[in-house]
Amino acid sequence: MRSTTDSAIAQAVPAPRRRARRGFGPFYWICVGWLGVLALVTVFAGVLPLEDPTEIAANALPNASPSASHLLGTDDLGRDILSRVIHGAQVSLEIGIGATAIGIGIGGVLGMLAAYKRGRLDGWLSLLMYTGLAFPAIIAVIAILNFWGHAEAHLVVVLGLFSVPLIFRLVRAATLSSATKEYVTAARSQGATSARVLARDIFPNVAPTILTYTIFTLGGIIATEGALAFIGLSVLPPESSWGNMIAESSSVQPVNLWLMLVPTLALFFTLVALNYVGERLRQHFDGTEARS
Amino acid sequence: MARYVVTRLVALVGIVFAISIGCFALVHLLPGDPTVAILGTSDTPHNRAIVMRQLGLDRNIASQYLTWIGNVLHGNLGYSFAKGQSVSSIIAQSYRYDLFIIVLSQVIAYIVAIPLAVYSARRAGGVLDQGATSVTFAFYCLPSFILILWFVQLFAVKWHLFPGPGAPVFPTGESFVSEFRTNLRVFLLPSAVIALGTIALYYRLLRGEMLATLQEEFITVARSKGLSSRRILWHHALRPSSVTLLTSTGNNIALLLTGLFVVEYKLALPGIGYQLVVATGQSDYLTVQGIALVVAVTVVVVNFAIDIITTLVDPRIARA
Repeated sequence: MRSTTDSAIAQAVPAPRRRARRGFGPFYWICVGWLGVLALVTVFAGVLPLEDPTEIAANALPNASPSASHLLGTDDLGRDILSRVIHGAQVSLEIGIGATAIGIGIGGVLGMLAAYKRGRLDGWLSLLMYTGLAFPAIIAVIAILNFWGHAEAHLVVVLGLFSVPLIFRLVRAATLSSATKEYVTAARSQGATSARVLARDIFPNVAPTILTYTIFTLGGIIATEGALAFIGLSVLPPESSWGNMIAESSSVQPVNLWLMLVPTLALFFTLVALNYVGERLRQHFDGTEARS
Repeated sequence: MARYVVTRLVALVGIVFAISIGCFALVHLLPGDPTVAILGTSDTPHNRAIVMRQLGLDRNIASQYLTWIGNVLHGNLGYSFAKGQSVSSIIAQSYRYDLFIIVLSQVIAYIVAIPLAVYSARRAGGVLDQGATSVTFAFYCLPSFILILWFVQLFAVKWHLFPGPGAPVFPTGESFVSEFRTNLRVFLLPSAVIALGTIALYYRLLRGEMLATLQEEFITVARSKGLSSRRILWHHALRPSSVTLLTSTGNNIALLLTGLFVVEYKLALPGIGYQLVVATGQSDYLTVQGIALVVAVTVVVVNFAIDIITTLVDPRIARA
């Protein structure tokens, strides 16, 4: 009942709906632009004329203000802040995208299968996933990373697996509403195989839900990685990640607020961009669903 | 209603059972050996065998689980060698801090978010609505570890408005309430940080629900009867709109029980989350297990309570 709320708003409130028809608005494209820059910078980090993010040059000035040689200045050890932030972006995006791929891959496929097949498979999977949802995931994540070691690959696997239950639940719910429609019955009565029905009839209808939750999950995992890095459970210094840059900058006395501000803003802009883009897309898809 | 409560209770017992297996498995499937931490330098095969037998680690896993769950049901969660005290006493001591912060932050969040959402929904797209929506969206995108750092840096270190990290908490040994009052200043900073994120969440939810409710026919009827706008907003629209808010309060409290670790870690406030981070660092298996179990069960119980409250607010749910 409540899931239709947003489309109800879209119908009831004229102003935003008209705006939605015209397009996504300038802020949406600013957000997309930021994410694009982030992706480019991450991919081409090796090619860009940047200093080594971990190198402490012999003649480097600590806590230097932004200048032509160091666009964002240097940190307390004289390392180039821009280079460290970009390397941090690499870590955040790699972990975020890797873990999201695992979560969506497993949770999405199982969710669609469970809702389509129903019966015993659905029963057992749902029981497993609901227990997983009740279990405080962050405790398990912290414990596992501590005992297993917190290499980047470990974070990807652990954060990915623990995002599965929620994605499973959302995708299963979305599939359920699609799997009971007439066109699915029609396809099956014409003798289409399960694989074909899932791929051709159900997936296109679930894809918008999957896409928006991919974006939200990505944001959530990047934020969680930041928090884990903050307590020392992500990549270790001298390697940089946004979380450990923020943690490091606050542990040096006296605190250099500029040093703290740069990774804070990088993370903040990224989360704003992901959440806003996800939210606009969700409204967009809800709107088209309501019209059809 | 009674039937609804009973079916929910049965489900609750089932989930708690599944969770207990999860907590048990978490610690037993992890690599590492608790005897290493206990034995320290006197780690010889002979001593190890003795300790293994004392801890019951030489028996098969099913009988270990049964012994453990039996002890748990008697309130015995084991003994922390790292801390030199029983796990249940560690949890009992630290849980209060989390309760203080959660109660305070949720009260602040309700006081701010509910009026804000109600008045924003009254004029959707108006100045208040746009302002509040943008500001809360920004806070929604600020993880608590960033907020707590900036709050400590600005409000505690720079302007000395609050006690900084490591501020002592004075156990008065008296009632919950008196201890809460004595240490209010220490808890205000972390609670404010948590409240900001929570306000953003509650505001978004309640505003959306209010907008939907205000389109319903009974609101039109109330309007045509000539009732005042204030009465319609607060008496007719808020109650049916608040169901989602209640459900998400349950989920949010559940998340906070573990999500507080960042804030507690930064402030060196020995709550559950802080103990968890410390215990994992010390390979203190039993404490990790105990905390996981207690938190998970609390989560399930809180959600159960919220389910019941929700049906009291909106009786249609139990009938569905």
